[in-house]
Amino acid sequence: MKKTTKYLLCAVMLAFPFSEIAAQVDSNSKTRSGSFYSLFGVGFPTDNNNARELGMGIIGVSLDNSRASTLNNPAFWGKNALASASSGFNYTSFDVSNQNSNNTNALFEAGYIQLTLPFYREKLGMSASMYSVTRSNYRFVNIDSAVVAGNNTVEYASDVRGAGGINRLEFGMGWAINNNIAIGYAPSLTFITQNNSQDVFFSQSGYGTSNLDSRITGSTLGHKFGALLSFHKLFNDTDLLNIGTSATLGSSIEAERDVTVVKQINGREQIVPLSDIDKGTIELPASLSAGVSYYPNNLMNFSAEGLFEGWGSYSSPFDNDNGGATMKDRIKLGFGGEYHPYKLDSPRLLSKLRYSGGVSYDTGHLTVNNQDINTLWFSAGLGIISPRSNSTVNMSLRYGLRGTSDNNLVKENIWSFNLSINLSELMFFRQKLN
Amino acid sequence: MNKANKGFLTFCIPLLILFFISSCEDPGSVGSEFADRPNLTFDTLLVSETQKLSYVGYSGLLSFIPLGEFSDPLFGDITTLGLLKPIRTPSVPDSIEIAESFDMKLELKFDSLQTYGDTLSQSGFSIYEVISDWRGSTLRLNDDIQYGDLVGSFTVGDEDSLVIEVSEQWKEKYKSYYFNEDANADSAYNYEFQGLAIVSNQPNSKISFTTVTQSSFLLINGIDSDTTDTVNIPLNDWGFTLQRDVEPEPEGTFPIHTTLEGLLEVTIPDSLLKVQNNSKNIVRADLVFFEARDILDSTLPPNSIRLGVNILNADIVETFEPEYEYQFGSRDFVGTRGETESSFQIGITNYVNNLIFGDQDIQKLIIGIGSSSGAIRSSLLYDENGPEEYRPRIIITSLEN
Repeated sequence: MKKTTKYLLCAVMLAFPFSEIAAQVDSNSKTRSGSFYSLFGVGFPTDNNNARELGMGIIGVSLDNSRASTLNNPAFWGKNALASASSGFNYTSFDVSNQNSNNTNALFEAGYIQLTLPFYREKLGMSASMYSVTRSNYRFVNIDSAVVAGNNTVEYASDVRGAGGINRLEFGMGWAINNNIAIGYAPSLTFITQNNSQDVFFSQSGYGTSNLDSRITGSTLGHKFGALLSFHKLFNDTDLLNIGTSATLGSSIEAERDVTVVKQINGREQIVPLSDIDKGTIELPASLSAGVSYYPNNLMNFSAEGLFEGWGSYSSPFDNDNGGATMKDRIKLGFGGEYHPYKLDSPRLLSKLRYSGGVSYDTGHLTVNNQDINTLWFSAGLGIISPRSNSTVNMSLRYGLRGTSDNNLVKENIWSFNLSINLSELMFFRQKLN
Repeated sequence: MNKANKGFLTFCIPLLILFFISSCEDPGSVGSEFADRPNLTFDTLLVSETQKLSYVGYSGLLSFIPLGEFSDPLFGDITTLGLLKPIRTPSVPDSIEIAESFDMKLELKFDSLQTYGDTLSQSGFSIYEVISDWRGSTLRLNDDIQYGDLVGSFTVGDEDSLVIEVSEQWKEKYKSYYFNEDANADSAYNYEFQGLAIVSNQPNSKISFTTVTQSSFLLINGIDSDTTDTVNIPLNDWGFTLQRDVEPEPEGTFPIHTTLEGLLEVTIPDSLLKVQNNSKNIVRADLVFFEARDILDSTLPPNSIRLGVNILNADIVETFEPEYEYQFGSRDFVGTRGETESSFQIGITNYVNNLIFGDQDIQKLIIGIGSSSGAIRSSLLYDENGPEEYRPRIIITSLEN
């Protein structure tokens, strides 16, 4: 927590009764807490998709990327004709409930950033990107009490938060060997920056406010491979079939955990270590995704894709018990379609857009209290195509059902709005006519 | 970026703004039982190394002048001697012309709430002229004060104030300085005129406390005429000495006095503290002492009271002018009555954190109740040889997951 925030919290403590402090801490959580299930391990796996892919509920390994770059299959980068810069943002609302209570969490976060550049148009291209692989964004505000000397009770409010996760800084190349085959490879710096924080405020003077951070850092090299098979005019003169696959190798992060706390030492606030730095290896799983996209004509396409992540082989020496949660292999299947009326050049406003819809089912990577934490997503998307350039804005709205409130677990009804912007233009291209 | 893309970006900005406008949320604690919630844990470390200390405190220019004597079965036979001296040139209204025939009296005001000893008894005092040098700013409890001629006497019961006649001889001596217009008149007054000593007539059984700001000499002008004017002569210097004889010390206890005759040096078990707590998130550390309430109550004679002690100080040991520091210096740590009425709890969180994580290398704390008020307060605390449940201890409160 930043110092300024701490000073503000201290001032608030002096100015307000304890119950109001808890409310203040509570209100600080606005738009800063995400899925409860991101509590476990190194966080919840992130959907590294642009809004177009999310609108279809698919992984993004076989969908043509001519108007929205993908992160998920390096082979596509060889087919790029345009330089592009794209980024995405998510606003997600979680209606969280268990058998006793419910509350709403909300999260606003940047999703990814990607730059692509064709070295040789539709033959050889590269991509540089930064995106998250997992994300912790849980936050719990609780009021507890303890009996102290003289049978008195001291109340304390704890603000327990998780932030960060595993990220990738990735540079990759794609090569379209011919019209039918493209391959790609993307090495990456895979690094973890995860901070589990705990701020505690007491109802009585004499107790110092506790600001504890448990920070896990480390990095390793990651490797992603992709391949794409494209078949034109398969069933008619205008159709196209893409078969894409992508694999990410498992990796080991040599990480360390530093637990620190802010204390008044020698007359000023100092960050002091609470223990020696823990070191250990975090084993990240390999993943494999594959899918098929079929374009029967110029106006529509359908995709069916799947993802396997071997979370069963995940391990981390820094994980806490957390109620006996275990990791398991994850499978995600998605099916969706798009309709492109803008290609009809109709003057009607609604015909200048791209529409999409889909559904996906994710078995999840967690088993908690003997229950698999799966997610069912229903998706819809809208693409706004720039009339004078190749840029697009894609939006998706998804509704998801995650987990269950049985077995003392938590059920999440999720509304997620995603927006990605893809700015594309021709670069290093000398126009022949003015 | 070409013009088309610039226009497109302009179109996107409102979308982003819309994105930021989100509805209110109600984040809470659903599922928090799965998270590592912090719990308070308590560790107790007994203090095993102490040393009784005694200093001679400063006793001049304090708020009260204790007068009397009291045989406290627990804290010894206490006898005080009060000292006071009027200023030479009091402020006189222009309308009053002081005649050489003015009369002079001593007015003493007593703090009605504070009496140490038998509250129902009467105490007799004699007032003498002091013949030895003394200065309130340097006066100590055990200074030897010599006095000569008797100047007056009085008896005090439950009165709040008394006006006391003083001898003609002493008045004339004061007048000689009052009307002295020599250049060195002030200097001569300061060095030659030593004021009065108020001596307890044995046997008295209580100590009363004169409030300095309200007590004064009275100059009564115009005694030869029909009307008189009274002018206050405030005190120029004041103080007291104290003699405490035969102080019994019940085993396993140590006495503490505001007059610094009783202090305790506590050695904090530094290495043990570090070993046990260097990986703990300490949110509170208290040094706890227990008052020997049973002994205090059982040793008080009928109708007698002691002045209560409500705070207990802990100071990091001082090597320069320790008496001054423990009596007048700023307190490093101030403790109050704890959760139980008979305990004192001194918060030493920062000190413990400094010991474990910082540069603090002094492991000795001085426990006492040194005071600049002049009130004689005492208490009896258990030390490391007292009953097990009442031994001094450090209670460490930590947060654990």
